[in-house]
Amino acid sequence: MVMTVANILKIKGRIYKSVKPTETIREFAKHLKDERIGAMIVTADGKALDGIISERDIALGLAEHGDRLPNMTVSQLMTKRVVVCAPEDSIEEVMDMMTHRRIRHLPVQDQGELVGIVTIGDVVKAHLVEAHLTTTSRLTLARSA
Amino acid sequence: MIVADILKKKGSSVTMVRPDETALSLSERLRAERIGAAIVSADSHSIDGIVSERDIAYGLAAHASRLPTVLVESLMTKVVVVCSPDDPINDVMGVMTQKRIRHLPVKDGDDLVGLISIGDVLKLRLSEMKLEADVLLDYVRVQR
Repeated sequence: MVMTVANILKIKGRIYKSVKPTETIREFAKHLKDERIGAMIVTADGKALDGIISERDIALGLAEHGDRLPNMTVSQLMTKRVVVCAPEDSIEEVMDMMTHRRIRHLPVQDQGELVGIVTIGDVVKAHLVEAHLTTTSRLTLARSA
Repeated sequence: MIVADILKKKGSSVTMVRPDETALSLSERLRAERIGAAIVSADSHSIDGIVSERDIAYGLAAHASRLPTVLVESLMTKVVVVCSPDDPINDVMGVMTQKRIRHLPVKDGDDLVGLISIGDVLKLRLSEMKLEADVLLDYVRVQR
């Protein structure tokens, strides 16, 4: 039994927080703080995935843009080429993507439709559950052998 | 697998900033070293706090265009959760998910011996899982 992205979404819900490309970085920072999250999907129409923007973009953007940063727009700072995953992807595949690309948030697309977002924290949590289940089932197998 | 296994690969160097450095200087350090958090220490030995990308991002909401000159000490987290080199990786994963933190300084007694991230933990688990899969494959081959 392999755990998938769909299993994570079942627990956390098919939800994601989004921001418009025209909002300012200051507004975006306020959303992050209010929601206690680290990244948001960027979408102009609430459907299409225009980009993704994270706390890292602010943290590193400060060095480059200084005091101009808060008045810049989300579209100026966001990552446009977004790496996504699918509901049927396994936890291990997602772990691999996050580790190799050094990213912590993956939007989930189901046949082109945006259905959620998984974070590195969600993946670690799911992996802990999976590791526990694997140990238990191995023990059961060992006992029945 | 324990925390010491991560440090073996990544080393025990820790990026430190002083509490009186500015957010701008912190941001430059994070960018240059491609890291997400730094230990805050006035004397380069004791841990006064920890400061991360998140503190800068949330700090922007509060300080806006004044943020570049805001001092690290007013952005940092003062109560720092730490781990030890002997801690099992699974325990560390549990702490990180429960407390929603992504960086843990590693202390061996009084000495700071490293800083591990949730990405490091994931990377190690992944290599461990691949190893387990290889071992199982070998086992199946031997059985034939």
